[in-house]
Amino acid sequence: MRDELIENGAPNLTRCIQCGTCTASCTVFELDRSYNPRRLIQVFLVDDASSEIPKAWLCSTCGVCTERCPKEVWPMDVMLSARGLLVRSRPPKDMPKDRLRSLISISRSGFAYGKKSGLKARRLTLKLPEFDLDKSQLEQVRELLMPSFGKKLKRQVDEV
Amino acid sequence: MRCDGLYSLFLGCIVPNLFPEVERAVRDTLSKLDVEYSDARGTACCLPPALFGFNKDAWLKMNLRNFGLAKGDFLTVCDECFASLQDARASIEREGGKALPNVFPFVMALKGVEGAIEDRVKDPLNLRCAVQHSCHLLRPSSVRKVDDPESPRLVKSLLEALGCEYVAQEDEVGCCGGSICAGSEISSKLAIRRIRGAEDARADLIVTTCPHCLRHLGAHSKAMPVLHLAQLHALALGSNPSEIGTKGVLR
Repeated sequence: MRDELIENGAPNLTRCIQCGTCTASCTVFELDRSYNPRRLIQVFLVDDASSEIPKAWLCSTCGVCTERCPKEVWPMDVMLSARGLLVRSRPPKDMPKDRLRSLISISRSGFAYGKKSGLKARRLTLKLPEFDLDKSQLEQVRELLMPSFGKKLKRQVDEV
Repeated sequence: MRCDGLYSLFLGCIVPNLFPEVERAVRDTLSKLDVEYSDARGTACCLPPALFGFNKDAWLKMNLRNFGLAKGDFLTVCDECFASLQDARASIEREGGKALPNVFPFVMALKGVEGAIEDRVKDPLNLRCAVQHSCHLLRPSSVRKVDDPESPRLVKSLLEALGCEYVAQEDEVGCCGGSICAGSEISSKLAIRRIRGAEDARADLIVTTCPHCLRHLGAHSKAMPVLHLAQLHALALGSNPSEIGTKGVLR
């Protein structure tokens, strides 16, 4: 797990000295003690992290930890590296529903947030140009996107 | 750093799909300030790591495709797009790829024409603005290189040029929770805290540069208006309030 995390986007993981600056400045920890980035990094470094890794989804990505980390471990990126591993290798149940919906939306329209009803007319009234990908552009996007995601997730997206 | 030539407007997905009035405001603001741009047509999602984590293969390929469609330096109106594109660009260049167009957030484009703004304001706004500073615009500051991460000045000075008053809040750069996974109690608590902070500071509205903050705070706010910085600029520069989503919103 440790090596995968490092490779995927946490190159400085082993520099961590467990000083706790990340947890002390964490937006989420203040309100939810179950998300403790220092502790989570400790688990990633020395333990079997499989039961703890889904906690990486609790990070708010505010980046204060990463701004302040004295050893450039970049705790936020550690969590993003962990999320990447979860998206690709786990059954999608570990992936929050809104993120799964967003990925499905990208595969259908090219964008993470889909259209509200009445958008086309509203854009026309506001004299805004059409905002859509054509069929071949969408095909390109799907080809770039889909090979990266776990089989179950891919199947789920394909079924929609 | 500033853009040398034309900007290539990268709209992202939230603004064009959920807030077309903000897109109108962005376009009006750029035109009224003679900032030249063309649309980055055909671009798709920037696959922000902040939402999906690092899926390097897909993230870099999607953005390599996006950069291929740029007709100048990217100008982003979403700070999550800004961070994602900026990081993808650095990653691709580090791995020996060819040099790619630069990426500028909307505020940096405004900063480039700050002098013109004050001259062209038709209607000084005289509003008390609490600012929701965007996490993805500021941090990590060594990479983003936009503003001071603890005490940002850029949005403040842009608002002052419009005749607005910047209202200081206790936790000036606190997160609104807008990028936390949906359904989390924490994301609501953070939003409510930010809105209360603005109310306590007797602000007329909350201003932000990021559509994620706009969407999230707007969904939690009952009486406090939440607007994108572009909407205030367009309003002060003479846009039609009903086209930029400010009609009936401000006192």
